[in-house]
Amino acid sequence: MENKNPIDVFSLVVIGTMGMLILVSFIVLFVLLYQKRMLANKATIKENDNIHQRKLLDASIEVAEQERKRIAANIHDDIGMMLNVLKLNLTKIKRNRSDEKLVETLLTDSNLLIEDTVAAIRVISNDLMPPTLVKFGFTKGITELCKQVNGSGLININLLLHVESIPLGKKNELQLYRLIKELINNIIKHAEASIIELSINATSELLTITLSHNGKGITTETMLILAESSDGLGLKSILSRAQLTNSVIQYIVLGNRDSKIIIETPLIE
Amino acid sequence: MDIGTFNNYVENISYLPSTITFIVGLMCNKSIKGYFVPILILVSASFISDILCFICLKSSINILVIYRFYTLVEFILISFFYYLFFKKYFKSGYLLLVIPVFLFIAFSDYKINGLMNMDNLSTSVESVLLILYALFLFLFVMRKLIVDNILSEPFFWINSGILFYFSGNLLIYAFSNYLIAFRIYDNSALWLIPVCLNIIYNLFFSIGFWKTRTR
Repeated sequence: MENKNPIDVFSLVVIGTMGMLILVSFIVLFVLLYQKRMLANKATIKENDNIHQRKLLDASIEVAEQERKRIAANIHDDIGMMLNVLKLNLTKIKRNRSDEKLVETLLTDSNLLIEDTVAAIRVISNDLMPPTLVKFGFTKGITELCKQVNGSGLININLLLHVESIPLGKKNELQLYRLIKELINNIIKHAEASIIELSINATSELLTITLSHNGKGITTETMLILAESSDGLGLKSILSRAQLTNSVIQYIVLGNRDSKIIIETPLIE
Repeated sequence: MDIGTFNNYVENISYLPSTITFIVGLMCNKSIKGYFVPILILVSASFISDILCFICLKSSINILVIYRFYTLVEFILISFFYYLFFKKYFKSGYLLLVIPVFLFIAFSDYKINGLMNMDNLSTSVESVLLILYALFLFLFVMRKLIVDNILSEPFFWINSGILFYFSGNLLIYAFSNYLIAFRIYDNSALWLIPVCLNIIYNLFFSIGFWKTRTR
């Protein structure tokens, strides 16, 4: 027995050591391969992220271009046309100074035209930078927006404001205002809803905006797929604005005619 | 050449790897900073202990005291290497708390085995702890993806060296007194395993030091 024991220990040590070394070799090899694989995945994710960012940037540029075109068309069609008529009226007044009745009529027309031009300029200016939002902040701006939409008769918006003011910062205020405007626009255009309930709530850390409507809804997944398609410009702009404000946006379908869109924006940098 | 002659021949050249690593360390000393400093000190300590062992062996003096002392230095310095490595990612101070525990184990080992036997208890515990540290470092690197090309990182080579050396030596350390008692070392090539592992250990350390230059 005494002679056999050392041999057993010798075998145990040799086999055990070899086993340990083989195991360690596999561990080191595994670390190398795993690291390589994970880095490749990381690079792919980064590349996809870059593509996504580029798409969002393209979308926001395209949205801005379309906005410029629309404003240019409004100026050309409304204000340009009214100023041309005004110019014609003035020319007519100059030529027919003796005809008091005609001059009187032309002056009244011109006065109305100037009023219309001022109103048209106000609409365009309001569209570009809502004065209520600039002067009185986010909650007043949204209240004004709801009034305008309700006044148009296209849809009925119930605004539930749970807070007086929200410390958002001018840049975020404008982005969120436009985001909500775009969401309302989408609901009007695509959801066939008749009522929107817009709820705004905030804690010291988080602003929560909820748009509930009785129209056809979509899920976040569908929204992301639609945004990826070439004609999802509005949705891309929504995603872009959400990203600019560090917001998380969720599209939830609760039932056949019951959907929600929730925007959560952190209030702490 | 019989196994005894071969063993003698290998014994005479077994001091070479630590000398080469020490020279490489000195050549790269300007780029060796931060958590690599304990490793450079360790390599220097290894070089000095090898010289002392060589002198002691030639003078027929017991070298086991040097081994005991070197085990303590080795564990403390490698623990500092891991402590400094993890320091920038999380509070790694608890790694240093293991040192007093290890010192207690080494003292117990001295009481159990005495100076005339191998410190198999402390070297086994040291091996287990350092294997765990090395595995944890790899796990951490894999999970956090802190580096892009791991092969170009000096810590990878040093950690691999530690993992190979202590994993390979674990059983030999654990049974060292038994193997000596039954004179298994004398007429077998078993002790070639630690020599080969020492070469790998020093080779990996040398690569690690060299990699600090191109970091």
